[in-house]
Amino acid sequence: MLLEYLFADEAPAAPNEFALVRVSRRAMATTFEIAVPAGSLSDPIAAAEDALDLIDSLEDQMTVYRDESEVARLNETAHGGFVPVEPRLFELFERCAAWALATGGAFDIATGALTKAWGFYRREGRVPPEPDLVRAMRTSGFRHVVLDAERRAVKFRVPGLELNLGAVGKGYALDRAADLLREKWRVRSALLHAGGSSARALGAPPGDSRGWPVKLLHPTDATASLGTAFVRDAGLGTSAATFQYFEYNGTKYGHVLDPRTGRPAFGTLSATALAPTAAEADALSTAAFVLGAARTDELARLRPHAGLVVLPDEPACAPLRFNLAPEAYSPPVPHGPVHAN
Amino acid sequence: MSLDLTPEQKATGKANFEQAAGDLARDGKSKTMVTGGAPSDPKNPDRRDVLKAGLAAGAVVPVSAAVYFGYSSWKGNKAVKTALIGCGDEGGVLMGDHNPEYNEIVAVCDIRPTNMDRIFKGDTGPRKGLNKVYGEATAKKIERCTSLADLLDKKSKLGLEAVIIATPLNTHDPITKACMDAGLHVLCEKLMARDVTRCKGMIKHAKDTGTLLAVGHQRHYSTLYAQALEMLENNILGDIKHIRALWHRNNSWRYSPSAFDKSKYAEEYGVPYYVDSWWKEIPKADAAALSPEKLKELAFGNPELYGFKDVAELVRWRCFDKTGGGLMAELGSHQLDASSIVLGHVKPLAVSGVGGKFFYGPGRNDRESDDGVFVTFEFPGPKHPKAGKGGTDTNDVVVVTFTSFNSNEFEGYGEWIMGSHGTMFLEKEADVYLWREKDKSKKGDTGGRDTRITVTSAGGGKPAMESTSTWGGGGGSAPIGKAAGASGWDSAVRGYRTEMEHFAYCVRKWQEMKQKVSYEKKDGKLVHGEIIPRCHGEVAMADAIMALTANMAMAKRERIVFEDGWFDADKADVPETKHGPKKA
Repeated sequence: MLLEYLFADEAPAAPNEFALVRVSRRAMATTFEIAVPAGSLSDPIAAAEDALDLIDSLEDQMTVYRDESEVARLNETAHGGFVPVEPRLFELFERCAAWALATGGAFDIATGALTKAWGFYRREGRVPPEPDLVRAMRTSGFRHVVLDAERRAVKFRVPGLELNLGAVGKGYALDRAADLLREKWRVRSALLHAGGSSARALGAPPGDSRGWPVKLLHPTDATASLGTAFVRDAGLGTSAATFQYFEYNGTKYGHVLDPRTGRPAFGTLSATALAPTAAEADALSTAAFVLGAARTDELARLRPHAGLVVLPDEPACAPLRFNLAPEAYSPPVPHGPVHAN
Repeated sequence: MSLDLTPEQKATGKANFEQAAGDLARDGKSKTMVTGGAPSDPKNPDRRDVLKAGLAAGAVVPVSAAVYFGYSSWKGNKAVKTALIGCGDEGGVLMGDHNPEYNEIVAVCDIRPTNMDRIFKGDTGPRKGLNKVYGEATAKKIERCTSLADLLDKKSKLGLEAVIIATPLNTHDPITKACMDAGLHVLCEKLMARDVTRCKGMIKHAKDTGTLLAVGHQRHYSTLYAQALEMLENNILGDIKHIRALWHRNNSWRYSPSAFDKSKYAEEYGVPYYVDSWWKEIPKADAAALSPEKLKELAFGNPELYGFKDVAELVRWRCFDKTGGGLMAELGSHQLDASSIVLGHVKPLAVSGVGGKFFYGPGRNDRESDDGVFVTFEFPGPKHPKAGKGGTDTNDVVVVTFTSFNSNEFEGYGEWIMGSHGTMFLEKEADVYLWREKDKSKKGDTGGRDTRITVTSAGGGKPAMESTSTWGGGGGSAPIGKAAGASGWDSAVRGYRTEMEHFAYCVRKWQEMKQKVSYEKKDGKLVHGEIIPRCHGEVAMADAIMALTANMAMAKRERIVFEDGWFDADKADVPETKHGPKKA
């Protein structure tokens, strides 16, 4: 702010431009990237690698693609009785339970069976036969999960129930990595993200107190944008029907399942959430995508601390925003004359 | 060594460079970077201190080009009324990158009707076109002149103060002189002139008329090269013995005859055989407007030197000995300029090389100029007597090679600077990388890192990332690739914009002092160096000498030793006397 004030009368020399050191690594089937302003740390690469190592270990804990992970083991055994869970993972389950409740079941991590029935587990989309779907619905839903806070243990009430952290795992990992950077490496300003769909900001970038500018991409129109969100000490999550869908009998099926119907959600092209943590932003963006613009309004009233941008699947529809102050989000600029500078 | 680096190697190199730049800044050894913390003199804070105050202690950011090149207080100045003479490829780049707050384009001048059209409408790459830069309504008011005489006639009416010249090489000196005679300050594109005598004539003319002469070797205004130079001055690379500069292009792909629109292009001047920006179609509109007689009339009174025998020679001027200087002048001069900058603005000792028309021929984009040049320059190292640092070691020589040819572009263009402790690579004027050499005295030293690291510019309203959905079900896509990997056109790095801004700043400073430009020297240094463009006549002449002498060395297959007198603008000595003409 000081800079902007002092340079206000100047030719636009863009004094707040700076260099970002970006360190990235593949994890959770996407690319995690940690961006730190160049020069803000004595060894940004060592700090970022430490955080990426933590993300690797969290993937080892949460993945359902490896039998030996803690979550895979839980899915195997929790029907037989309470299974103790690592404290922070348990805490995440508790938060997921609260979000499932708040979203009327639009967000639910206990839908592993449904994901498998639809083939999304192996990325081979198919419309499941009705009996399979009914069976999968019966073994899905967080209402079948019992959390014992005292013992930090989990039990499933139905056999075949499977937890799948696909919708919040990336955000959770980013939150943990951000905590590590802040506490151990004293990082005050950084942006962490996973393949662009989940992000977590530490502080704000140099010269822009609004926060880290994140451009929200239009899911189907590469030339359009859904505006820019400014993320400061907060998380951001986007769910969109962008990359993952399959076609069957002329109908497109997206990869986001509506846990309430057991079918892919429709009616929304993209939903972005800003929330205090990346995990919550992930959860709320998924919920908003499933609920659609109309019901997101209700969700927004229940969660006033969360901002949402939802693009309905309707021709020429502008993105709708909820709970977002102008300094946290600037809507897309309509097409107009381009001024060079 | 190949320029085909993996993304990881590039990323590591970039991060290393940023790290080293940051370290230098924190050590107080950098002018291109500023470190956060208390101002050096709290009572009298300067612009750096203002920047410092906004940063966390220890944080480092690059200073803006305007601060670094010393013209950051433009406030209250009116834009310099400027005309562009020559609206072709290079003129288009300059117009796309100029800052109207410094240089207001009030007129454009070109004898080719199609160029006049193109400069307004824009073209490929950074050539945005004046319509876009100013808006169509304002652009309409820009005067269109079809000859130099026409422009100079309208000088007073337009309130013209300066010109930017981007015409074929053989016309640089007559146009520069005519403009200076009219009291205009000149920014002339490189190469400075077709021969060294003409360069000296331009320098003398600037002195005699008291006008500014700047030449467009834009690397002198690149913050990237300034940073690289700073790093080299701090001995980060150790002992430098070799610089490898190259500019490789592939113009060997067949031109599709169906692309030749007979309604637009004149067939009698030949249909291109290859796709080649130096050997273009001749527009009918240009041919109709510029008959040989008309061209003779426009030849500034000397068709032998300044004219074109036909419109094809005008359009394809880079390919002819009389009108252009070939690959050495067009491409090599930039990189030799860069090499002499990074070696501390030294002059070369000798040049030898091989060049020829190895690829093109009759019926296939034929030309007079060499299509392949492979030259070796010997430069003085820091301990060499000619480096001017008191050294006596005549063996301290840095070998600079430059290669350019037209049938392979796998390696692209850039400069590799190879030191005993590390390598610096300046790629395409846009990116710089630094790699440490493996330290063989340390066991297990690898000199590199595995995790991918990149450095991008951020801030100034640019998004730090783009958000859309990826699905963690296996595979996944990474939209960040686009954001992190794109190396776009960065005006501060490229130097064109800064070069024009600083030129305008110098114009205003001399006007403020109410005196004619003085090139007075004291102890070999310009007294008013701060308000004379960085690439002034003598600097540009040295670049021209390097490029033109290399052509002579190749033509005669000999090793030519550079003579001090050639670089002295006040002496009549020129390399052409002993070593020219370029070709028998």
